[in-house]
Amino acid sequence: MNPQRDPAALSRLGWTIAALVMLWPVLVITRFELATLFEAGNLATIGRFLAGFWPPETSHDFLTLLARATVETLAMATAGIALAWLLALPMAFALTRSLSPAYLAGRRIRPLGAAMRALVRALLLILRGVPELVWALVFVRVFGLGPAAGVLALGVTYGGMLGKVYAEILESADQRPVRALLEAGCGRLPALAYGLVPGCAQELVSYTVYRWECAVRASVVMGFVGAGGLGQLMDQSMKMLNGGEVATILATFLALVLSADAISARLRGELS
Amino acid sequence: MAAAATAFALHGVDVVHRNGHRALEGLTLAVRHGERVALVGPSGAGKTTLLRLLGLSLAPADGRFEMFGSDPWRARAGELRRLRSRIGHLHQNPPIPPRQRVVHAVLAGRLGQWPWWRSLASLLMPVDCQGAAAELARLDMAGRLFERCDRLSGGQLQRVALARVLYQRPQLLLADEPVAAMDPALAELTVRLLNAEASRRGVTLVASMHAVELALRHFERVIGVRGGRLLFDLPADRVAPGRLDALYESDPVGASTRPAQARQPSPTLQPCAVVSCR
Repeated sequence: MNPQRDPAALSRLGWTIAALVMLWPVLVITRFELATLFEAGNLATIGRFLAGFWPPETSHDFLTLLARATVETLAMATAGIALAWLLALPMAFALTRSLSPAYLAGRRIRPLGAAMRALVRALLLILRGVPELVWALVFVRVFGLGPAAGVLALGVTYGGMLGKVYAEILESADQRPVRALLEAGCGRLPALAYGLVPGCAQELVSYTVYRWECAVRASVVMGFVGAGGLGQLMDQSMKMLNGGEVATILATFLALVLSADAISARLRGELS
Repeated sequence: MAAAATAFALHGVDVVHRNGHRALEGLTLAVRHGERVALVGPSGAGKTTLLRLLGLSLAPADGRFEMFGSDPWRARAGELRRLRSRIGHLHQNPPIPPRQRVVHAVLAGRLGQWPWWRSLASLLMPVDCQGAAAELARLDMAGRLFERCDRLSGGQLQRVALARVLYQRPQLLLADEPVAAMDPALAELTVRLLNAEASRRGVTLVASMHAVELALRHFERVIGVRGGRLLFDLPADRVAPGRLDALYESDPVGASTRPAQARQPSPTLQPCAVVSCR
């Protein structure tokens, strides 16, 4: 055998084959067959459906309605992310092991701390494990139809996601600054602010803005179950088979996602 | 000798790492307030372990250990934190986040003494620009207060780290190979500065040093460690060359070598200087 050969090559090949083999039954289960998409009859159906979208609706009345719904969607997404942030921050703080002075001394983390972390982890799992649509259905029953339910649903689900990812970002950052601060008797919260956040501010901000973008999309979906905003408007237009209106709503929607991207790029530039 | 004058004391202290390695064995040592001590010895001798023990980052497995007159590992969490806030650390690579501004990097020295709300408020509006500026000016870094640390050179960043630890106003200053990554001229300057500032403020200084000559020239007291044990503990002017040869005598593994100064004539020792820089 050639001694110059990468000893890891064989296992890499094995894993690649395993991944491909596992992909096949997945496609079968989901009945994913590209050919169906291109059958003559189906193409015509898609064509007719899409043709109904043209021309986009631009009447003054509808645009006023659209503007109101857009503002409502943006407000819902932003308020939801703000709520999620408030939920995530203390939990990520509690989860980050490197902020514990016991970790500094190389001792085992005390059982109380470990139990608390397990509890927080479980809570985050429940918050993000239940889809926002389900939370929205629950909260619509409590708050009635409207954006309030959407805000709460977003806050809860995204709080779970942000908390988990924040903790992971903080743990993967360079730990030397925070260790040095703890060595000098610094408390946990200042150690976080002075030792960890400066190193990963860019990542934290960009993930939060990305989640805001997701929240805009999610708030549209939640509109379908009566949480207001663009989604509710789209739901009505679809039910009335008004393709032009749907096209305008979709265009607005794309513009929103695009602007979220621009904001994220801008903020990252500011912080780099 | 009055007990109050002792900064720290060790009596038969053992330190065992979590992998079972006994890094320090039966160490007995007492250092008075305001003394300036250099730790010398080959790589793996236990210098870093001793500094971590003194920095209250490692607990002794056995023996008696006193810091500022109390046993830190019997103290409650809050008391341990207060003890730690009286100890300053200087690292070979300054542990400062690159995107932090100099002012916050220096003010961070007192985070252990400030209440948490003051620390956080200082991030919005630096609470003691004057104090930070004064420390920087002393180190020839005036006017760099609002620059970002990643805009500084390595030597400047090292001075920011020194300004931070001086701003902390510690009673004990620990330095782990503070100049190992510097060129000889900068190393000389930094060691002189460190000693001058320590003696001006009456701070106890303990530094591990690879450059033995530098240690002999600038410190009052030199402690030789090898294999986790104390080999000698002498005033700097009474360390005979024979002592150093015994300290760095290469063992069968050949892992430990005496670092040679660039000026030293012996050609056989020359390559060792490269080894010791790592």
